Amino acid sequence: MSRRPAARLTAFFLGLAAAAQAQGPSPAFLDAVERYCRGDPDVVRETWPRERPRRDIADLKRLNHLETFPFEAAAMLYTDRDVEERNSASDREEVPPQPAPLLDAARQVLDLILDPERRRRFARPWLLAVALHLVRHGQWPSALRYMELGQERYPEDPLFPLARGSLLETQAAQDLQFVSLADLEPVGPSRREAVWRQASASRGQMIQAEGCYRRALAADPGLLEARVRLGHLLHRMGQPQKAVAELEGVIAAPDADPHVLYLAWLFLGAIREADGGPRDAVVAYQAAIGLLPDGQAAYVALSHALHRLGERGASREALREPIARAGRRQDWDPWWLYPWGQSHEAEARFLALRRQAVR
Amino acid sequence: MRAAALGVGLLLIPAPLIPQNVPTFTTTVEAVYVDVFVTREGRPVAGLAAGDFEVRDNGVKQEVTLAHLEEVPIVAVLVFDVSSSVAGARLEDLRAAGRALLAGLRPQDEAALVTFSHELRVVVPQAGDRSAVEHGLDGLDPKGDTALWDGLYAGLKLPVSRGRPVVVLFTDGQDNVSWLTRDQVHRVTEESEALVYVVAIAPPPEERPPAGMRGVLVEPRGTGASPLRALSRLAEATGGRLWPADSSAQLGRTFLRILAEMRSRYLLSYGPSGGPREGWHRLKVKVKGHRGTVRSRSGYFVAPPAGP
Repeated sequence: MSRRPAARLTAFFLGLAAAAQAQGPSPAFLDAVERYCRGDPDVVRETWPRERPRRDIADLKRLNHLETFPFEAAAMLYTDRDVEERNSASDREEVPPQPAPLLDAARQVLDLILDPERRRRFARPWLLAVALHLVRHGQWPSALRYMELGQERYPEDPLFPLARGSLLETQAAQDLQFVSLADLEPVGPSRREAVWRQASASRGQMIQAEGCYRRALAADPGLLEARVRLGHLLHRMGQPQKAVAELEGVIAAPDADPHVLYLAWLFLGAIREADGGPRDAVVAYQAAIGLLPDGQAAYVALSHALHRLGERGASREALREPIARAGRRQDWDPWWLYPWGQSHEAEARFLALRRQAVR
Repeated sequence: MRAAALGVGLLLIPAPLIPQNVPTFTTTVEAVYVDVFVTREGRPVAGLAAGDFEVRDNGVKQEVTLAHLEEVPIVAVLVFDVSSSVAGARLEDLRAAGRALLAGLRPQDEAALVTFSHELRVVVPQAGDRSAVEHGLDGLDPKGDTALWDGLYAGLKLPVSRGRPVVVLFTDGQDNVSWLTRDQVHRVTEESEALVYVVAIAPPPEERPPAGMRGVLVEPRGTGASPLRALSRLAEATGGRLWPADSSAQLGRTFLRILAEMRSRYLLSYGPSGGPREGWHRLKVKVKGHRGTVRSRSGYFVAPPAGP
């Protein structure tokens, strides 16, 4: 191991020198962790042999008595490498969904932390960030695995069931959009059966999602994102009265985030429209527009409601505003983010973890 | 087909362009136009006269006349998917196909360009100036998710001042972020006067992502209820059709086929007689005394007057 004296000194404080002396992980790994702790960005981008994480972890397990070892930094080194690989893929759909060896390695590293409070302080937000990161890259089965793990380990945390419910709801809605009665007409019995099977599988996912949102709300009744999602889901499941109660609860909540309120009005409008009240829906959509004039979905919804009312000129006029704002928006329409759940938070969550790890 | 009823707001073909044998609209006359395509063994059948057609509106036989297509301008509304999956070679092929279609239009025809990712954009409103649309094609910048149904809705709602509107919808993706549902847009499509052609690229099986991925045309878990089927139904309801393409290299040829089909169609017109005026009108078009397949709109909807 050839390191400059200053680096060797840092390594000593981190416990890496002691680790090396104890016939633990390879010097190259320890050097990489040390560089990560120093905030060296290049270390993440360097080429890593595929077999290395497994060997490193096996070696680290021999060191689990070493309380000063920066397990958090080692875990973030693997995590950032995974983030780097997924983000640099030209098309996110080219990234293989299974396995996620670097993330699994990071999780195993965090499991080596002996102090339960220290482990919990880092592993809990890490599990959530990783799950959201995987959602963002469309790798839903892996994301669900991490969410379930988070729920098992931290049952009092409302964010794991919220994330899991969001993903299950999106998955069900995506599959259901192609299943309509019209699809059943020309197809044979086997396909008809497949369509019904799909519909019932999707319904099962929605029921699970409902359970997740209720669990999140039981843990934190003030988590309005869970409540607005529950309202929308109940409408999708054919329970408009219960849905309205949840959405009105969001609207009545003091200091609600305008993005969440926007969704509540939008969903309330959809319920009123489906219930045969496009005129009432118009009022709800206009309330949503008043909250976030940069939105698009509320204008489209308003235009469609006016179309149904036979007000074709006003319907076209309602579309003019969001189209004029194209490319100039200051704020994203919360509906655009809705199918992706909380995955847009992944990067900010990783950033906080990085700060914590390099301390 | 266009249901032109003053008060409904669908009076589109200006009087000077309407041939002598087509009734001129007045404030008291409702006229219905039916855009018809007739093929025999896959080839368009030419030379048919008004008397060769039988049109039934809610089962009631109608007296039809035939417009001369060369006198009626086409308004080509290009509705293009510019979500992230279109980037690269696919975008270049799409631009080239769009230019080929524009080059194939006649001087009296017009075009518009609407794009959608998650965001809707009218890049060029209806214009006789093709260079504006070509310039719009040059500036396309693919990114984001796919609001397919919202995009089609915007294309259908674009004000069209005259002519035969034809919406050419290109997509390589399945919807993942529209506010409107497929059924809502299907209904709006039925109510509009536009012919809808859908050009869709589905990735070959070996490139299809596993379950859980989004944004590409995949059949969900073998149900047969594919997005292509949904798009095909929608196009057929207007008298148009779905053109699936295996690769973007085929787009130019496909777009030119659409244009050729538009020129081989028949535009029938009648003042509807019998039955209630508002609501859904089921249309049945047949060719008398000739073998052939007839493709036309399955019906049209006359909305009740707007309330107070």
